[in-house]
Formats: sequence, C-alpha cells, structure tokens
Amino acid sequence: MLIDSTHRVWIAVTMVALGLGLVVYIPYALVAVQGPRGGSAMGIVYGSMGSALMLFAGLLGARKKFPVWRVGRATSWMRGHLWLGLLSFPFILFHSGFSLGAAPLTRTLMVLFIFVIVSGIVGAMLQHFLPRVITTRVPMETVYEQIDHVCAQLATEATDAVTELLSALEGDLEHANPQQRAEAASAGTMGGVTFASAIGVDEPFAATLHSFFDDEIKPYLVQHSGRGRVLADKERASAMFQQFRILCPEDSWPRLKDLENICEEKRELDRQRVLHRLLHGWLLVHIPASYALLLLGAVHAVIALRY
Amino acid sequence: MPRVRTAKTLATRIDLQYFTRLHGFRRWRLVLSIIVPLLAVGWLLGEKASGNRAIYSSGPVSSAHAVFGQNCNLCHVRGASFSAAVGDKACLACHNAPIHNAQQAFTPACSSCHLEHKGKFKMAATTDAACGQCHASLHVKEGELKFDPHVSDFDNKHPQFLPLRHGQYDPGTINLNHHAHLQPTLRGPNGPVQMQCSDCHRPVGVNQPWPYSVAAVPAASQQPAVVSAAETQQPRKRFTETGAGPYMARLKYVNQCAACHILQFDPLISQPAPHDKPEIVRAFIVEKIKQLVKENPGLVHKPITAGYGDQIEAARNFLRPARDYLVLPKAPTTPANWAEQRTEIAERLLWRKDCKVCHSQTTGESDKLPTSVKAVIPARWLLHAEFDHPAHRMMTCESCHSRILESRQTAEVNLPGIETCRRCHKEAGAMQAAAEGRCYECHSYHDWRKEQPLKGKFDLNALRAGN
Repeated sequence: MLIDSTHRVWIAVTMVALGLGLVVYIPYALVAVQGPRGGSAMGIVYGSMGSALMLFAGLLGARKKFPVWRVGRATSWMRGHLWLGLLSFPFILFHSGFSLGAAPLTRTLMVLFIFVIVSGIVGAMLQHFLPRVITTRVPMETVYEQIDHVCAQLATEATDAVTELLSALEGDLEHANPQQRAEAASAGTMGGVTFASAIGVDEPFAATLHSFFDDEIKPYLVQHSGRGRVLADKERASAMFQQFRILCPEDSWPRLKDLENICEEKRELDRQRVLHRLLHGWLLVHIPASYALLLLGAVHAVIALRY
Repeated sequence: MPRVRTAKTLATRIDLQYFTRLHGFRRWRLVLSIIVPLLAVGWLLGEKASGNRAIYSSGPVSSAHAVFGQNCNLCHVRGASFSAAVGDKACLACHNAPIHNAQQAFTPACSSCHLEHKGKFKMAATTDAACGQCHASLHVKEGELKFDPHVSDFDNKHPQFLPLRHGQYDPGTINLNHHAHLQPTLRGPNGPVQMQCSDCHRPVGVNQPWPYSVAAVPAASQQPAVVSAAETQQPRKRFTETGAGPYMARLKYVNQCAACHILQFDPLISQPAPHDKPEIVRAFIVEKIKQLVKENPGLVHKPITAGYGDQIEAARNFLRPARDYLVLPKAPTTPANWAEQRTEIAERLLWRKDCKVCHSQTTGESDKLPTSVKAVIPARWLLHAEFDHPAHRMMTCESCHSRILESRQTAEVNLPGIETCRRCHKEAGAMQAAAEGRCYECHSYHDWRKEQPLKGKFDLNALRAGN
C-alpha cells in the first residue's frame, strides 16, 4: 500500500488522538499515587482504548474475508488498520506506564504486541516501496502462486526450442527450417534418409548444445530457485549464449535467443519470488501474532478487571 | 517463429483456478494463524492444570507475604460480585494499622499506598504522591491546621525543620557550652583531654562504659554507669542493623558528667555528694562531716578551712561577680559547732559554685535549700519524623552538626538543617546516586503508638494452602 497524500486525514486523526492521549497522560503520570499503572482508573481507560484500537485493526482480516460487506472501502479499512493499529501502541504504553509488566502474561502480551507493531511497520514500509521495485525489476511478473506453474511451462517451451534446434543441427529435416530444406534438396539421399547439406549439419556443436541444455538450462528452469546456477547470473548467462551464437549457424540464432529469453524470464520469476516473499513474508509473523495477542489480551482484561 | 510474449500468451499460462487451492505461502499463513493462538491457549491451560497462577500475577508478593503467596484467596477475597480486588478488610485482618491523624480529611485505601506484587519491594516504601494526596494541599476535618499545607516532596517543597525555624531555641535548662567541651586542653579527671562527641552522645543500646561516668571515678558514686534496659528506646524500632537504637541515649550526670564535674564537697572527705535533690545532698553532707569530726576530734582545734588550701580563694573569686562573697564563719568552739560551720562552707560551695555550673537555680535565703530549675534536655527534636543515627555512622558528627564547635549557648539549636539532609537525600534516591528522599524515609503514616493487639484469624492450613 502506497503511503501518500491520501493518508493525510488518517495521519492527522492519529496525531491528534496521540496528542490528546499524551496531554492527559503527563499530569496523570505525575500525580498518580503509585505512578501510572494499568490497574488505575486512567490505566483502565487507556487499556480499553488501546484494546478497542487493536480490535478494530484486527477486524481488517474479517473485512477481507467478506469483501461484499458494505462497511466502507477496503482501502479505507487498510488505512484505518495501519494508523489506528499504530495508535494502539502508545495507548497501550500509557496503559502500562511504559512498563513491560511483571506477570509472564503481561510480558508475553507486550512482547507479542511489539512483534505485531514492528512487523506491521516493516510490512507497511515494504508495501510502500517494494511494489515499485517489482514493477521495475520484474517486467515479466506473473501471479505469485503461478510461478512454479509458469516455470514448468518455460521448461517445456525450452525443451521444444532445443529439440527443434538440435534436430536442425543434426540434419533432421523434419525440424529443419525452409532454407535448410532448400539446401538439403540439392544434397541427395543416402540409404533412404535425406540429409541436410554440410553447411546445415554441425553434430559436435549439437552435442555441446545438448549437453548444455541437459546440464544447465533444464535443471535451472526446473529448479525451484535457480540459486547457484550459472544461468542465475545474468552476465554469465549472456556471455555463455554469446559463445553459442559464435559457434552456431546464424540461422539458429533466433532459437538461441528464445532460450536466452526463457532463462531471463526464469531469472525474473525467481526475483519476483524473492521480492514477493519480502513483500508478504512479514505477514507470517504479523497475523498469527495478532491473533494470539487478541486472544491473550482478552484473557488479561478479564483477569485484571477481576483482581 | 521467434518467441513472442503477448498479454494473451501470458494469460493462457495462468491456471484460472489457482486461487481455489492454498498456495504454500497462504497455507503457512493459515497454519501459523491457527497454531500460534492455539499455543497461547495451550500455555494458559497448561499453567492452569499445573495450578500455577503466577502467570497472571503482576509479580511476586513481598517477602513479608511470601509465606502465603500461593494462596491468592487469602487477600483476593471472592465475594458475590465479579471483582476480587483486595480490600482494606483483607489487610486489616493481620495489620491493625492506626490512622494517621484524627483530623485527616481523607483516608486512602491500604492498597492505594502499599502496592503488593512488586517482589522484594518494601511495602512501606510508599510514593510521595501517596502522601501528597493530602499533604500537597492539606485540609483538616475541623480545627486549626498546624502543619505546612503544601508539602509534596522533600527536594523542594519541604519546610525547614521546626526547631530551626525563626524564633525557635533549645529549651534545655542545663548550661552547656559545646565549644568549651571540645577544646583540646580540657581538664579531665586524669589530666588534659580532647573530648569526642561520642564520649557523651551515643545511640541507645551501645553498652560500653562511658569514659566520663562515675565508673571512671571508682570512689565517687555507686550509681550505675550503663544504661538500663528500662531506658532503652521507645518507639517502633525500624533499624536493627547495628543493634543500636536510632536516637541518642539520654544524657545523665552519672554517665556523661560525673568524672570531671565531681561533687566533692569537702577536701577531707573523698566521697562526693550524690547528684540528687538538695535535701538529700544536705543530709549526706551533714552526716559525712559529723562522721569526719567524730573520727578526727583534733580537727576542732584546726582552722575551719583546714584542707581547703586555695579552693577558698578560688571560690571567693568565682562568687565575686555575684557579689556573694564567701564569708568565713567565726572560729568554732565545739565539735558540733565545727561540723555546722564546715557544713555551711561545703553547702555554699556546692549550691553557689558546683551546682550552678550546670543548673539554673534560686539560692534562696541562707538557711533555705536552693531550688533548681528542672533539668530538661530534649531527647528527640523531630517529633513527627524518625531519624537513625547508626545509619549515618560513616560520617563525622561535625559534618552534619556543623555549628557545634562554635556553640557556646544552651539555647542554640545544633540540629542539622534540611539543606544538610538534602545534600544526600534526594527524591530520586538511588536512581540519582543519592540516599532515599521519599517521605516514608522519615515519616510514618500510621500512628503505631495506637496499634492494638490482634487476634490471629488463620490456621496453618489456611495460610499455606496452595503451596
């Protein structure tokens, strides 16, 4: 989510609420008999407000589960989640008197809360910057969940391209291009099999290419992450394909270009995978910790109000 | 055909049903979203099953309450309502804590000042804000307000100690010149001495001989030299570290003065007069002089001043400013007459010289006994605060009682001022590398003199339940 001028109202509301909270907190902290405590009247007020804000932030999940609910736009909910969720942190600090608490439960709550807030802030920053990075660095972006599926298709596509290229290089007219076929027509036959001309057939190079495909291209395309492979490095991959172009007949260059292009797409998809994990990985901490926080927070509220 | 990458070709790559299946990332998110809260619930249930309620507790109970720390219900009494907060009744079951002042306009709840569940935290260590609830803007139910109404802290808002305020003086009636007593050439019982403060001032309970007590002059008196148990200190003993009480032992002639200020009334009689009422002194002198004459009949034929030497002249000079010359009687003729005249000399020297060194008194007419002003030596200056001398033993006396070396008059109050205390005691205490400066350090809310004995309410099983 891009944090831009559309957030101004939310930021203003958050800052005003924070200012009011602080204005009340300072004299309260100065005159409170036992110092600011969660159990004091003001502490309970701050705790209730903080909990309400947390609960509101938590409702974003429900809002996403039921997108048809007519309870405001999703972007508004997201902005509210971001800023009111952030606001809950100072209110909970006011509630606790800037203490982690002494009880294991309250300490756990504070640690969880810090996890949630920090992961949320990190997430918001990533959501602000990374989408633009992905757009720039991954022009061939696809649906994240389909990356493996697309990679499999790329492998198939590369296999087809190489098969065609090899067939031509090995003299298989079935896969020869029209020029090769024209040249081969003048070359004659031997033992019932038609061979391409000597110009079109390059068996040693074909063997090299075959080996390169089997050893490098195919494993790289099939491999979940291309890390450690020669083709994962754009410079080295480019140099390698350039060498093949020198060795290979010029009419095979388009196919080689296709192979190079497929490898480039795989590289981008791998990059997308990494960036996507960065972009959404924080949710693996943020969401489970938030649920645990809300649950334990409710227990804490009941126990604290009772005792 | 070269490879062409169009939106259409790209779209055909996508499995349109992909969102119906959980991808790894979303699957992990779901799994963790279930597992983590479940772990939290499991933790709570596990603690409940093991009977450990400490996870909800805001901290271990204080050392004094640790013995029943696991028995929450002892203090958190569950009534009909949802709340099980600790009420005053729970505290008063064990602590008969008298209120501060009958005129106080507001009585706070016990737990508002004494915060439990702070571990080894001293529960008596209340915050200044607790005291400030009333003292920052003091009101009384009725009658005149006798204290500064705006005392909210020690650092800035505490008034000067009452005995040091303008117009106050030492009400003591014993003439004492600290300056003279602390001179290096003071005449002691066995030659010049340099007296130390502790020669006369020591906390109660320090059972060591006094260097200037009657014990230092064996023949002088039979009165005890050490402080008796009955004299050991009054209020609630807060400090037991040194074994000594917080206040200085009461000054007594037999302990602090007798060795130097010997009440010898006759040079021919070694036993000094008792430090007692004039009539007892007179009876003692008469008896001793009669006994002297009886044992030494030849004295009757000697001058009435026999044995006095220069003392008579010294006494004359001493009494001269008062224009009360020591008039020597006529020559005695009989042993009875000799004894009578000798007694008169002894008494006049005692009443008008030795006793007057310390006591203000009316001499009365010649045959009448003098009347001494009742001896008053304030044993405690700060009546609404407590002070602990042994806790300050690392310092020299003069560092706090800074004017003592110059003090010549009894009326001068040599108590250290609040500014001296503030050099070490600060509100922030140890956090500011200083000594404790909160109200409770010197003041006690509860008037423990009014504490009533309590009858125990719990048996051992009730107390130790949960352990």
